[in-house]
Amino acid sequence: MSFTSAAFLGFLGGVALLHALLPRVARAPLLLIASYAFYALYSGYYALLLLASTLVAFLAGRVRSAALAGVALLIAALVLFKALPILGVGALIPLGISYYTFKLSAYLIDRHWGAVESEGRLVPFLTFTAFFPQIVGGPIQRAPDFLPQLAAGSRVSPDLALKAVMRICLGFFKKFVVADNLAPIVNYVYAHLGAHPGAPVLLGFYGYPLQMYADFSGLTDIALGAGALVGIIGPENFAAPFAAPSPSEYWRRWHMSLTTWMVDYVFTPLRMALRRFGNAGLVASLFINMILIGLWHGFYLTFALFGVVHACYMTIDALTQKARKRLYKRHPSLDRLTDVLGPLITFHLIAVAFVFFRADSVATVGAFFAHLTAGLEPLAPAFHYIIDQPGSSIGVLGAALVLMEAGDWVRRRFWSVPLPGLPRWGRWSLVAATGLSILLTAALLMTSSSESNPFLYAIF
Amino acid sequence: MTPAEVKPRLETVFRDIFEDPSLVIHDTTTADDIEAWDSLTHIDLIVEVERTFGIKLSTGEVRGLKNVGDFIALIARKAP
Repeated sequence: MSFTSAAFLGFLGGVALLHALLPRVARAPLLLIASYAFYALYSGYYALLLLASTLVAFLAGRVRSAALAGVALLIAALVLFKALPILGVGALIPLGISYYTFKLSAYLIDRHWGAVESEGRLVPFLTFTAFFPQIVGGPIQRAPDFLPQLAAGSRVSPDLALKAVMRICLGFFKKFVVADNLAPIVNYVYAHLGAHPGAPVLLGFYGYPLQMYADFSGLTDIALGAGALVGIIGPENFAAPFAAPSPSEYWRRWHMSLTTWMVDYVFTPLRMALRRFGNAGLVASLFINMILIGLWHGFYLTFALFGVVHACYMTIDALTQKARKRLYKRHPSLDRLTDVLGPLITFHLIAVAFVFFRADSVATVGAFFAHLTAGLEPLAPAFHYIIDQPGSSIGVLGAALVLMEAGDWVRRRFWSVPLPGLPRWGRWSLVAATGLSILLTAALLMTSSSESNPFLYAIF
Repeated sequence: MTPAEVKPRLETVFRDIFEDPSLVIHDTTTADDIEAWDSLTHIDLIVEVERTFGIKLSTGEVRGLKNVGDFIALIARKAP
């Protein structure tokens, strides 16, 4: 059941309604049943794997000395399933295995460190792992953040419900209007490298990061909105990543629930272990961390190289940080200049790395950059050939990008704070705007096919 | 070592690492309050604390720190 389907919205609406009507004690079991029903519709066998993984973590977490053995088992299963496609075995990667393995591993490593208490109640723990809004594409929530919210079983306030519905609508908009309109352009460029000179390739270069952002942050918006409708506030995944002034800052704003996980459970332990080696230890930790982030997406050379490229950026960033800070202190005008240039340069560096992420082989990466620099010839014929691809409209796209940014700004401003006290007309305007968003979403659902364009991050 | 003895020496370490001679730390200070305190400078801070106080910290101990108050308590417990 795709998130962008009428069936999912019906399912979510039903669960949210039951959540509101049922007494507090019945809400956690409701979410457990709903989550396993959601997962079993995808695959009954893999639902058993999800159950088995959770039981392994639950039991290993009871005995602190067994916690790391539990992590080893879970990671081994993840590695096995990720390796099957490259070994030529045609098995599907279990839905959400990367996400739930990381949720469970975080709990077990924290148990090993003594940072969390053992969870003794099975129903909440099973719900934590299988929680249907987060199973498809995260975010990766931590047990100490999730379980108290589940135990509280609070009724969802009208304000939160309103914001949650708006957020789901924003997610639909990002996916159907922005991401799915950019997809044909980007796909065409990557499929026809060599057929066109630099300019159209440049369209793919700029288009893919925007497509990826719209697609993945749209998926996150739906996940967080759906979670909020059943009383669970999840962690944010994005905070204006393309406004980041440096590559390190970019990773603090992009896929944040994964990067904070990696910092806590990979980078910091590595840095601690290698701290006697000074900068060499820092560089080694950065490379291992970033390559593992790349490989988390799949065991392909292009993903590993994506990690290497980012590790190079972050190494330069880290090793020059203090010198740059001193320089800016002596020359404040330079500091002001980097306020403008920083995000611009960072976006281009990120876009270069995304070519490695999108390309299906290293040869494609080479072909992409060879043609990117093949000369910016007059645009008209080739450009029109690309933007006239069915399913994409450049005018709609430009307006949609602006609307997406505006929607994200409003979301960042109001999501985690109570709505301001509004006069009656203001409140009704908000309700009317939500109603219009729902109508727009319904129109998008009727005119767009959700099954043919799955979310890019729902496959990891 | 008592927390009161740890605090001024820890403040000096913070000022050195974050290159800010006017930096003042409180028990409630967290990484959110100091702009340059990120996952990279965090380990520099740990290394300098270990050197200054002659102690060894583990990843689990470092992971459990919620704010500067926790940090001071940890150092006070371990420092001779």
